[in-house]
Amino acid sequence: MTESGSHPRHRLDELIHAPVRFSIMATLASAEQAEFAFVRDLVEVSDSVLSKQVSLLEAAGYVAVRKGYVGKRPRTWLSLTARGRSAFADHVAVLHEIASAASAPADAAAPEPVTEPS
Amino acid sequence: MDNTTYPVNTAAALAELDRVKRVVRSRSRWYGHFLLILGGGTVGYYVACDIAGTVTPARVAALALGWSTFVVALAWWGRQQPVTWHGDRRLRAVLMAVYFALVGATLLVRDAIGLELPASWLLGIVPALPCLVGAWMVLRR
Repeated sequence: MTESGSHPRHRLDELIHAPVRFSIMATLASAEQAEFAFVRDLVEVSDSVLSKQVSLLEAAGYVAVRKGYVGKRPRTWLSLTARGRSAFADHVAVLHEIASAASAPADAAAPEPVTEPS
Repeated sequence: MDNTTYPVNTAAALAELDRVKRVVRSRSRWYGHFLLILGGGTVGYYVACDIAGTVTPARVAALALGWSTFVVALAWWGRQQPVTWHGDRRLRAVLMAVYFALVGATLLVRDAIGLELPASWLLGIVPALPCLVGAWMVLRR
């Protein structure tokens, strides 16, 4: 985070906030672990883009990468670390906070229902 | 960051969160089917043992081979699945521990006292129960 202030946006994790990385983190947050190809298809990116973004998240300690084999076929499994899970939960909490703050003024500005005098 | 885009980005991000969660939930339902097959196969194994009747070494070996093949094939299929739901690891560990304990216990009971009992295959329902309960838990979410 590069800014400080009272607005909740200052608490957003910029590494997670990028759309592709957010989708990757959201996928892995719901999963115990997910195969690389599954995440690639769900997030709708190429192998190279996913690989690059996962490397960034891995370097930040948010994502763990495990390589293995199923039979003779190599597989790469992705999962969130405890740190990544906590960071994503915090990020989503801030998003909810912003969303509710954004909808609150609209509700407050709604006109009072007009009642006929009896 | 552009503050004016936050309401839109926030809504889009939360919608994306819902979307991927739905897909992951749907694609991880395979574990419920895994448990249903395991439970059904377990009852099938006990029925086969019942039909086989008098125990001979050849029959024991054939049934053990069939059973092992079934379990290994099922485990192999499970390993092929691309995603597992968050929290399923603990459920899997508990269910498998309970399942194998009940299989062991019922086989001991059957061998000790129940072999000549009619419909001793009903004992197979005991280890199948946790599988069915687990499948219900997974498939209803």
